Amino acid sequence: MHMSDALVSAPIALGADAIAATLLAISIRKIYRQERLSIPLMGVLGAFVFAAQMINFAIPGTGSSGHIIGGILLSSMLGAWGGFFTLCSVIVLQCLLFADGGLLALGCNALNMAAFSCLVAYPLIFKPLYRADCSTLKLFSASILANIAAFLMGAIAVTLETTLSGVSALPLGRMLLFMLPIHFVIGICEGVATALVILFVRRRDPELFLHDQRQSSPRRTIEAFAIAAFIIAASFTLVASSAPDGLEWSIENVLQGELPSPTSELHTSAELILQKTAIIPDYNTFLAGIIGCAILIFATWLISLLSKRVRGDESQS
Amino acid sequence: MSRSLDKILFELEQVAQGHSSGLASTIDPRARTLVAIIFLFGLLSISLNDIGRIAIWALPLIFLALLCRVNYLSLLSRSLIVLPFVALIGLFDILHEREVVATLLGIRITQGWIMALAIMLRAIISVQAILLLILSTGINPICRALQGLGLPSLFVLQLMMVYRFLIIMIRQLQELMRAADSRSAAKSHYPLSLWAHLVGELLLRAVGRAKVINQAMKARLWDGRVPIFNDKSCWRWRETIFMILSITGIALMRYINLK
Amino acid sequence: MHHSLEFKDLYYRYPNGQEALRGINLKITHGEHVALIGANGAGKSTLQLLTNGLLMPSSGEVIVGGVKLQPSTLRLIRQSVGLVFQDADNQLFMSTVEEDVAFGPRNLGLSEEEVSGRVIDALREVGAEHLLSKSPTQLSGGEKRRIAIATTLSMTPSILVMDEPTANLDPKSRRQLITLLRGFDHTLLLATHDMDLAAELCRRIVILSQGEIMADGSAEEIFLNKELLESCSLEQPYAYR
Repeated sequence: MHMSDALVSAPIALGADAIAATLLAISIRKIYRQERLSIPLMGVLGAFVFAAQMINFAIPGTGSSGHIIGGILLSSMLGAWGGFFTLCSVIVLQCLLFADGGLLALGCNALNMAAFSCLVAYPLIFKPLYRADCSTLKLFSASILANIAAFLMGAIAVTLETTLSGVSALPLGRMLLFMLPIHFVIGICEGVATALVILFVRRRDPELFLHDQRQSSPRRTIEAFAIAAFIIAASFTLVASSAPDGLEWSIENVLQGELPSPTSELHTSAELILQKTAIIPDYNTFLAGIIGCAILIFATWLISLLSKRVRGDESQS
Repeated sequence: MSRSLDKILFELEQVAQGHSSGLASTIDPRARTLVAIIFLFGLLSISLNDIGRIAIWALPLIFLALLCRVNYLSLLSRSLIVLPFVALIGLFDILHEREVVATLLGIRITQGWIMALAIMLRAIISVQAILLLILSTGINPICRALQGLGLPSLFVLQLMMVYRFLIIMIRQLQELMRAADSRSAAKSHYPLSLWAHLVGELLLRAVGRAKVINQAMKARLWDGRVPIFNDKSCWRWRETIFMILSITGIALMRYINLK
Repeated sequence: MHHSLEFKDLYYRYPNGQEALRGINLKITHGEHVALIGANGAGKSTLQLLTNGLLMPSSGEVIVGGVKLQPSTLRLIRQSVGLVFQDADNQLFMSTVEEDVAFGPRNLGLSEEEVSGRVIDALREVGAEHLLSKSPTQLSGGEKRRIAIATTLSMTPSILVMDEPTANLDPKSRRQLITLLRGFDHTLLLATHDMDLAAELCRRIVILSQGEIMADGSAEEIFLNKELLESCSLEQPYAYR
């Protein structure tokens, strides 16, 4: 889960560090403005999440086990910025205390593991759906959808970061094909795990989990589901369409040279292997174009939605 | 984390304060942290073809470990933990860079193997550098140093609090796990429902503790703002000399032409 | 005068309406060592949290050193009343002993020299000066308890309220703590299950049961009254059997 320094080149790592540092600075300002947020609570919950990551659950159906990251869980108690802040502190300490994740790669790890879950998936998907008295079904769907979205975004980010660093041996599209289904499943697991914990705890301390003060409405529910659906669909569409190759092409143009990659020989051999096992057959350019358009339309709608939400939140606080 | 919780607790308890003694212990944590960061930058910027140069970077760590009375071998063994992940990346290099660059004892060594070895060496040396910094300086002094270097106070306080209560949380987790294990076979992982009970119980205790800490802070007239730390560290000639020597040494290691 | 603690017709109700304390009338004077005993749920913790305004009365008054507890007097009262919590870890939240003991004085806005002075004095009182630069994670249970006391002493309170001071201490640490407390001339209010501690340290015993004061008298009166103790789910201390 944690990226080591070997996985990212210096410019990418530093770029991610800068973005993460900016987000952290913003979160601190937001925390100071929120009176409800208690410093001891963030400290102790950080320690809690750190410890909780050390105990594994069995993933049913497979022989393996996993653990949660806890982004959505933290945010459900501390809010988006509080959750991000706290999870970042955990990531930094994991690097310092256990060399879990590289020092330069801290920014990447903060973005991949904390930013997408706390700052995107939580406010857009989980928060609108969760109510203190909401049904178990709603709790589970909110948690699972939010976590799937968060992990998919994280997977895309990791792929981009390693590809742009020239460390990935696979072309972008094929790597996504590999990463996304895995993270989809991981998202479900963490979604279920998070929901189970919230279910257990809210019986004893319902006030612990923040909920929207506004009335729950069908429109808000649909919006949340739509955003989740969009993120999930767009992620997989990214693989199926010409977008990844287009992305590589545009990156190459921007960098004015070849995308840094170990070798074309390896790409070819990896491609050969994957083509034999690929579920998605070679794309149709026409279809790709349609999907590309759909993504553009969705993106526009999402941006308008986000700006409405930001304005709505400001008027609430 | 597959290591047992006991081992983790032991490692955590070791790093509260620094262990260094002698001359090394007098150097301000800020200088040490800066040098460590510069060291890492230098190390990670070395091209993977230059394996000889990479290997040299272990030497100052061995020397510093001796100076700080830290066991280098334990640093080495702890740093090996990153190898599995890094080896995967090295594997790609082995597969693709087939150009033979040397022959040793009749075995043809390809560029790929050199790069793979370089990547692994670079990874474990960088981990050793971080571990050495933490063991010789201590996590709390390092957090203070980071604050002195510009990290916001609230985040520094958060880091120190997470560290402070992590040991307590792990102990409580152990208690909960032992209670669960004594009623069933001890496992390394739990079925989801039991897992959720354990984590949920831990969460409730954490929240309860946070409430009492809040009360304890208010009882001592805390007004909710970040406490001001008394900065006892000072930057003397010693630190400046240390910085100059270190940066010079690092630059030499990075750029000097060995041939 | 300012070492006195008084509860006048005090009631406390939880947000759900349940009454935790009913009609508490209690006056503790300068220098008294009082033990507050009672079964779990009797209201001991609630009463302690009321002494320094962490909880505010639902009705009735809390008067500390002649000053009535209200929002405007919170700061003053919190300097007079030192509250020592049951779990010392909750009071030691900074990264070194020095910072924890200095936390209170710093919040008072004192200069750094004054703060240092207070820290040294407080640590000396509990016999822990050698622990000044240690991290709380490195302390034993007994040491943590003493430092927790020091964190309140550095604010020079006149009244000390302690919740189960001997809980989880090994016999040696417990003995050290009793010796320490015996030497204090603060007004002491100790909430405890440790009947022997109460018998050793406190001349006056107050029994709390289901939110009301069942008995308030000298150690001899209370501890020789076996029926009274049993009716409150308590036991006689060894010294009185």
